[in-house]
Amino acid sequence: MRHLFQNTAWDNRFCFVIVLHLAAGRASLLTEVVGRWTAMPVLEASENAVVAGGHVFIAPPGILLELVGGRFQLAAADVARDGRTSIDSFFNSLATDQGANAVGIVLSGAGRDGALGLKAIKEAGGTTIVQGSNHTWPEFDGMPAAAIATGSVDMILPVDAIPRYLLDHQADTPALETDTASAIGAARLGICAILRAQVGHDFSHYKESTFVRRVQRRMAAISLDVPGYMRRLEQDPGEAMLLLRDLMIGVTSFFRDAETFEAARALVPRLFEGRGPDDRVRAWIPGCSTGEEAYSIAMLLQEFRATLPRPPALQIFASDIDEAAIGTARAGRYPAILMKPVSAERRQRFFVESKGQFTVKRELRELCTFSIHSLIRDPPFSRLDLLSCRNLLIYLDTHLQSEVIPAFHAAIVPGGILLLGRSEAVTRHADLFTVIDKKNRIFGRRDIPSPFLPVMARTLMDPSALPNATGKDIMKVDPNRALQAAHARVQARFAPAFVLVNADGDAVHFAPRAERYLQLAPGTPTRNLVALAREGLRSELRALLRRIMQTGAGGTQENVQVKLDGGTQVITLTVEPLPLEDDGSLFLVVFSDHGPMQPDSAAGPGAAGADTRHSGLIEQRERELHETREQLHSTTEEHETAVEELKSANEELHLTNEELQLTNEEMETSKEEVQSINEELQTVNSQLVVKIEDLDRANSDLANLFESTKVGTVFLDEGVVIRSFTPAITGIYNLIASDVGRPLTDIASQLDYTTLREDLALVLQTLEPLERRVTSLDRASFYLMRILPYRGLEKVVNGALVSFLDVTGIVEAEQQQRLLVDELNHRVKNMLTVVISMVRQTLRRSETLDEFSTAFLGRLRALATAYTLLSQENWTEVGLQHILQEELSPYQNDADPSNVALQGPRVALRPGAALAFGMIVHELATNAVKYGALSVPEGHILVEWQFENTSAGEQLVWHWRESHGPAVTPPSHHGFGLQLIERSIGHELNGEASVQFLDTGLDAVLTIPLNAASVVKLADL
Amino acid sequence: MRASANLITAVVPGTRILVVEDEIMIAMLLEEILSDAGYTVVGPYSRLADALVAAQTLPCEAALLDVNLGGEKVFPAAEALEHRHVPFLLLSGYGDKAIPSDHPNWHSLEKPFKERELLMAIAGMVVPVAPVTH
Repeated sequence: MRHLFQNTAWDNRFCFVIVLHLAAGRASLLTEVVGRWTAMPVLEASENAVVAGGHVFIAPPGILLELVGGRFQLAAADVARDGRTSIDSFFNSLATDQGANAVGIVLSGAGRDGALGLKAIKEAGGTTIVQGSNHTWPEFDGMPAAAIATGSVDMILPVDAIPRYLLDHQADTPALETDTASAIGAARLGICAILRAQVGHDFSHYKESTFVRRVQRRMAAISLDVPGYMRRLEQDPGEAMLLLRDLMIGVTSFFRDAETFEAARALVPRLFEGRGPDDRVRAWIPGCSTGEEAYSIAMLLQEFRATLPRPPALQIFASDIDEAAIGTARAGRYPAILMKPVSAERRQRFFVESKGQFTVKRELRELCTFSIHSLIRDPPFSRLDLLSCRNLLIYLDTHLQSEVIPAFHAAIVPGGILLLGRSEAVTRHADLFTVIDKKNRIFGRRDIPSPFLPVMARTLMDPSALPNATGKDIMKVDPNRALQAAHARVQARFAPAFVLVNADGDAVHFAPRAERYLQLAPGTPTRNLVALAREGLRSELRALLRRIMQTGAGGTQENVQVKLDGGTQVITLTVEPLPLEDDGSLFLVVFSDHGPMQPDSAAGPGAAGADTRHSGLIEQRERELHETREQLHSTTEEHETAVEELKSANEELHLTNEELQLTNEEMETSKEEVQSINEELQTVNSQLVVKIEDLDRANSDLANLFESTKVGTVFLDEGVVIRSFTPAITGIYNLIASDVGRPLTDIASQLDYTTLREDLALVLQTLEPLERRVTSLDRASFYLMRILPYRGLEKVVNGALVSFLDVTGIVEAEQQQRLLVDELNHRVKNMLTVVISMVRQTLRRSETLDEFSTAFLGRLRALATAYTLLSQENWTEVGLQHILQEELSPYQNDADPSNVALQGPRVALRPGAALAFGMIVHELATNAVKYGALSVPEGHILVEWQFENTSAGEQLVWHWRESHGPAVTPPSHHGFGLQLIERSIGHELNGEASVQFLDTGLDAVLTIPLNAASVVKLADL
Repeated sequence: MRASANLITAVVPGTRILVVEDEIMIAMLLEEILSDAGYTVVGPYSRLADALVAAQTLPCEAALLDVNLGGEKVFPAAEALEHRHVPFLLLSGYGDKAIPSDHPNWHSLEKPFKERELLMAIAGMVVPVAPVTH
């Protein structure tokens, strides 16, 4: 089915309805599955939903879907009652509702559902397609084969070719419809002529509308116009055969040719004449196809039988070579659309209706035995009262026909009836059948012995299939066999020899001893009696026959001298017409001996001695003759006994054969049921496969999820035995695959956690999840452990799930955060202490509030600046240059910043050193502004630094040099600034400070040993 | 900032207080508070090595020890003092949390401290049974 949808862009002209055999209550995944194949919306058909183009509808499982007025109707399917006919049922409603727009496609499937549905669609003018083989599909050919057997199939295509066909043909069908119908009508006789030339059958009498429709369909199927199609017919015998098939098989229907049935009905009483309850009336319908004809005849016979007070049993045999067709016939279930020719009364009486399906009632069904049988290959059924073989002979060539018709004669009892199709006749065998109703092709069996069954010719092909006695012997039914035997004996021994001839002078029967008067003529074998007659008899016989045939009255010719072997016999020749019920009379030719035969040698008189010798010789010969006669007599009797035995054995075999056929039919029915179940299982299986695929995908999704989450998880059953675990658990529990099946509590873990057993018991008891923080034995890892009750299917707790979420990172971050907060607290508090100290020192050295606030705020700002720089660098380090720049840039001239110059290599200061330098530079700058170089516009400050190697290690030598300012003198007492400079260098940086007050200005030199924790030399950029 | 004058009377002149503090500003503050109160300051020392030598060798009646000395803990110096039965007070922004768990009997004063609190704590150390009242 996938190939119908995948790779094909269906447009809105198409609406698909998919009907599957699925039992009710079985969830179908089909909607989902088909949805993956096509872009069209795929919906489950629902009650009253409107059929819309460009959609796919799926019939719900266990539902009989019908289409009424373009809307779906749903009804629960009862497989037990209706059989598996959901497809037939839907097709039937589709045909009724959509007519020529309907397309029925039968895909792979067992059974035969859909076959009659296709027939219904074709009846309504729709298109029918069946999945054909491309050596891969169909998987089950039951349904396609059954559909093909109905003869209602337009195209047999591999499934991947169906979309192309539909797209190509469905588009222009309507145009073709109107255009060509009249054109075909006009060309009808031309087409008939071609057909007659090609296949030898004349369809000129065929119903025109049907003819046009069939031709039109063939033309549409191969996309040709009328002239093109006619050319094709002329050139392609295959196409002619296809058209013939289309013309013939598709029209099989109930009470086909109603007129014929009416005529036949009048003859039915004749068949029942003289039959009591112990007798049977038997009918045979060879080539019954899907059974309509058989059931029609069964109805006809049963109707009459029901009127009889003491009815005989009725037995109807129906046969076909096509197994699928026979299967359909046996099911006896027909879509409503095919039931039109059946009168309401008959429907009521012989059928049960259910949802557009008519099922043959038991009463009718049991009358009919359907079997697979070849008219050509298998021996015919016997002792038949009625044989209906309509529209089958036309498929047979004349040779086969001339074999089959005598077989029919043999199969039918005297007085029986043969029904043939409208274009069929028994003209070549007028000696076997009389015409009862010429128009309706009803024939009566002539009561003459059947010719040797032409079946004999077929022994070459299949000897085993042949009856073991000639047909003539088998067929006779005569209760008074003894009398018949007596007649035969009298005829054989005492009666004059006779020959039956027909109007043509051909012998149709030779009585015993007739050969005495006849001899084989050289040349082509012939039955012509005149040609066979012996010398002397021939001319007399010819004259007499001619006369009798002309006059119609009997006549006799005496004293005819016939030359026999060894003498001349005088005979009386009698010819009498045998009046039979029809015009095809027969003539009885009787040869009566007149006196003894005159031997050739006795012509002249002989001597007395010779006479005596002769009489002795005669006596001896007569004795011998007598003995021989006796022997012959007993041999004949033995032979007859054997023949009788063979006859009864043969009859038994026939009965057995019929029983076997009944059994076979039952087996067929069981086989179909098994096939249906099998098909259902296949469907379920493919759904299961889809589910398993889904499951596999879900499983692998889960596996990947577990892998990605790194959450170690162990699944335990109720006994805390490990069911499975995820790879991430191995860092916590040393689990290997073979540990599955061991209790988790037995496994050594890396955890400082001893209450696992109790925790698990608690969770399994309370069914409440439990959460716990656990630490690894080495304290390096932290886990959030969760124990959850494991709920299986139906939410029943049947185990536990233990998961470990590694929270080491979080725990570490928490600790880090705590440290940071503590550190921050510490710094802030330290800083506040520093500020308090600063306030106190400044306050102590200030005369006025103004002085205090200026000095204090300046120091606070210097501190803040250093802090800002440090925090920008995340409290790692800050460049010396950077600190100086920040502190000193306010004092640089806007026009010429060279009044404050900085130069030196790159030095990094750790937080403590940075703060100290910040404060020192602030104090020096404030001092310069107050008293030094920055107190006059022309003053300069040069700050330069370099590294020096000393015995104590490398040192930073930092030089603050003022110039062009006023001369400075050492202050009377060391102010706070100076004190701070000198003490902090020593106290915090382990260095030395020297401050000189020179005439040129203040000169300060700081010498600080390099130390990774305070001052760090950086490589030059 | 001379609010502690009433305590000065309680100070025996010449009482020596060892000061270990790496931050010069805080060291100067302590110096000032202590000398204003009449104590003699020993130090201040900013590095553990120097502090340890002082704690082991220099005569003093009590000590103020900053816990964190440029990344080093002052505890060895504290142990040395304990060994000599010299009372001491730990100073730290961490407060009581700065006291190591193996020395629960040590005392600490949280920075920033109030001058009065500091002096009372020192007085409590140098005069074990202090009958000081307001």
